[in-house]
Amino acid sequence: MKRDKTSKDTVAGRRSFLVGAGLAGAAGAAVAATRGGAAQAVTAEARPQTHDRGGGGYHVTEHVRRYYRSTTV
Amino acid sequence: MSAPTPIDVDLAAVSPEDAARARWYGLFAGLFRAPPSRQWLAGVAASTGEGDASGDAPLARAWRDFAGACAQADPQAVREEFDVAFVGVGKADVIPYASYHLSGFLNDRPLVDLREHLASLGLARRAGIGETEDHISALCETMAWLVAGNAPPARDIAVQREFFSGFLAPWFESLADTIEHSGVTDFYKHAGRLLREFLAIERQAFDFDSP
Repeated sequence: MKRDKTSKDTVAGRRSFLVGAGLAGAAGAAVAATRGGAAQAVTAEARPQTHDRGGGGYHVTEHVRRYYRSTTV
Repeated sequence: MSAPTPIDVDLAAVSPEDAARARWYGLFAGLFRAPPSRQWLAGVAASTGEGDASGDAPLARAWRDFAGACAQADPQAVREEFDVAFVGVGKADVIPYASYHLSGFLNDRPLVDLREHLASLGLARRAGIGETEDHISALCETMAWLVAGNAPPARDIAVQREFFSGFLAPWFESLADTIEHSGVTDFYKHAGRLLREFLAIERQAFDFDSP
């Protein structure tokens, strides 16, 4: 169940703030014109909850290994 | 176990403000992942004439300065600046990784926490990517997806706020300061200021309906 404490007033206030700050206005239009960034490589993938065992290029460094070791009871 | 699938956003399916936010995050993801191409620089330089990019709002001013930097930038010089500023363990002037700014070390507890959090969102780093997940470009890419992604739990403001609060808010000022005070940044000083202004707005906006 999703907790949702946002009222319509705060949602409207947040959107007004964003527009007033220029996020969706002038500068935002200019950002849209640039069509994203310099590279399109996706650095994340959606996958069902699973554990990254290092196949994705993550190497357990000695520092992290020490951290894990220190948490074992 | 299903094979991993690439993530994607659908800007047409969200509000105009959220589409803009996703584009902003996408812009920074690209800008800090690799130096921009000549075409990209020219596109930004030419964009100040679109709509009304004037105004005193800090973001608009930062954008005008950044567009001006793009207009004057030499792509080769920007490439070299990027390499000297951001690339290389032990020699980079700016370390754009959250773990370093939060704990003082790369690959430290903040990265561990981030990986766990990403896993809870159903996200993981794509194989073959060199940067760890706490690189500013990767965090911005993740935020872009959380804002406008086309699968759960994207587009949930509470999920966005939690991610932003945990992995961007605590250190983006430190990153921006480092870029600003670096002796090797020039073009990227303007990029860093733009990043700071945008994320400051995001932080204030999240405060609007936080419990």
